[in-house]
Amino acid sequence: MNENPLWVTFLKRTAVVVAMIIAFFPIYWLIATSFKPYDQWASWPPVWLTDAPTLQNYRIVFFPEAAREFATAQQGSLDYKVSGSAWKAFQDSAIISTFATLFSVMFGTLAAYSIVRFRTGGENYPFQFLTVRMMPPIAVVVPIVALFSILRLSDTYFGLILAYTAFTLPFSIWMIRSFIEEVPLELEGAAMVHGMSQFRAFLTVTLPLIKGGVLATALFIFILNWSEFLFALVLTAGNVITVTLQVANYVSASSGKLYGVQAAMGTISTLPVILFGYVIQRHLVRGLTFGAIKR
Amino acid sequence: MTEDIKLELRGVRKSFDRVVAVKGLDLALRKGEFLSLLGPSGCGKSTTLAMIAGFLAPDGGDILVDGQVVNRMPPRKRRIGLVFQDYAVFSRLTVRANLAFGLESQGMPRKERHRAVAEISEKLALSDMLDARGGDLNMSEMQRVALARVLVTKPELLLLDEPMSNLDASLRASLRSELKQIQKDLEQTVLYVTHDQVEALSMSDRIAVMRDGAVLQAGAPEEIYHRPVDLFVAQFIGDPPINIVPCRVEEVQGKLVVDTALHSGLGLAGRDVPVGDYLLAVRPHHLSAHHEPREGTAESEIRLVENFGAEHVLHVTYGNDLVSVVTAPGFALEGERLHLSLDINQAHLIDRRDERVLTRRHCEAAA
Repeated sequence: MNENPLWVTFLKRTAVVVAMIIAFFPIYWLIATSFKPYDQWASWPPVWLTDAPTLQNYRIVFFPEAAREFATAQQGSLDYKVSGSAWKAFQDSAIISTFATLFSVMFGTLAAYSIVRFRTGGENYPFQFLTVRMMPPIAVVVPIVALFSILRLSDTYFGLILAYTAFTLPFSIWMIRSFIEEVPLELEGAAMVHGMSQFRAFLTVTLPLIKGGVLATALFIFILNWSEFLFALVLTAGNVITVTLQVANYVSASSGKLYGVQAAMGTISTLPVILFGYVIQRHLVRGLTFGAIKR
Repeated sequence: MTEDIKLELRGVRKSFDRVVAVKGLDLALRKGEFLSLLGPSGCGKSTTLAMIAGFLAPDGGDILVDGQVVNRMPPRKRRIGLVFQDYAVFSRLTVRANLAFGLESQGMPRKERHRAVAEISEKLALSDMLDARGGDLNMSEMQRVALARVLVTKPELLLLDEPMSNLDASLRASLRSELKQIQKDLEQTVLYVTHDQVEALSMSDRIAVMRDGAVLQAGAPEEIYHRPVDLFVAQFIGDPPINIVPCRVEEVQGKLVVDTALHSGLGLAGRDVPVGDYLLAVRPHHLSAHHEPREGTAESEIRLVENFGAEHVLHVTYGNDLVSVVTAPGFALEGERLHLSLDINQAHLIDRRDERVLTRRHCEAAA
């Protein structure tokens, strides 16, 4: 009965394959390029899979001095002037993304709870929060730069953490709100008549139930923070440098067009996100199957 | 007198936005009493319960426990037990941990806790499943766990919110008597919220019938059943439902008599009401069917026979209406004709405008 004609199945599968190719091609290209020697980075016809794989690009990411000897070996055909190891960028990004994610999810959870349970701010409040995200960041970046320079927050960890927290908070609230709405009020009620305050009931009853959802939200927010570029660009001046800025630095007037190094850095920078996702995947599945109350 | 009042509600009001959920509710619950709050869904009984439990604060009026106003006291300080409709058994915890939950938050020492849990699980036949997880229980087990979890804390007031609506009919019947027995043994004060009149009638010492956020009538089950104050209460209580037929009160030779579509000249002994149109409410048990015409019977036709095993309910024509009559099984078949008599002394005369039942007392006051 449910069997589709063969050609429908064929079309559906083809569509899936095409979608996957479109999705995976950039990742393939990134990884492939990261192992190419410099003369294959942008050659024509393109080199799909290099015949001379090298780790040179990765070396340059962590040891920028390697670029100089490399340049000499290639008869100075490329002007390598990479300054600063990527270690610093990874470290800064890790600090900023982690804390910004932590704050965003923490405040988001509390705000979402109060919106769901106490109807804080009234009916339209969550929507008003979302309007923060309706402005393109580029539209608000100039006033924020001005504000940050007055508050002396430019080029500091705290400044970027603050900016990221503010801009991801609406997502946190919206996502976590939907998880809290799933938790039956009766469970907290039962805890409360058994001697708990509402806050303790929230911590011991509700929070464990929405753990998976909160972690999923955290992953999402972490990805946003980790890959953010615009704020990092305008709110820093060399003291703080994020992964995205470092990647951008490999293609610039001073360093030339180090596509291979850029690809290597890009490949490495996907690892923390994949690792985070892997660590919490068990919770992602479990968190969405509440079953706290059988209905 | 006042010292045996456990819970009292005085003119309690609550509205959400512009919807009035509870308006001016008065209710008193004596120590050791089993009181049912009975009403259709949306009548405000759950809101009332939430205010008594402390999840909601009333907009007006007072809630008193032991004579103390507790309007804004948080739930944890009220010494109440509450069993929810969905039980709210903690699914991640074992039955044992569920039962110990309240005691633990009260800070009861470990040893005492163990003893209390063992004792209550014995009483509610939960001893075999203490290590099962809450999420693995079936509905009736969950119900017992929820009840035990509350009883073990020895609440001064036990609130039950439709605790049987998730159970199937046979289980409900056995649990009704079980619950009543437990309540009597422990002399537990219980406020039982339900929309099921059978539960209310079978277990309660008193019933408060609610509609549109107010109590229409509060009294013993017999009183509610036999002397409803208005059309709503009369119709809400009783299975099969009470028959309502139009009637007219006339004065014939200085005496008031009632005429209906079928019967005429029914004497209104003791009831003095103005001549006019009324409604007459008669329980199906107070209509009797006969095969042969007798004094005071009127002929009617059977349209439908409902078989309830021990008794049959006949739906018979009554003027333009159908009324139900309870008979022994096999009394008559569909399409047959029979002769109906009506016990006017058991019937209620209802004012068409305000839908109040005109009781004898009522009539005397009017006269």
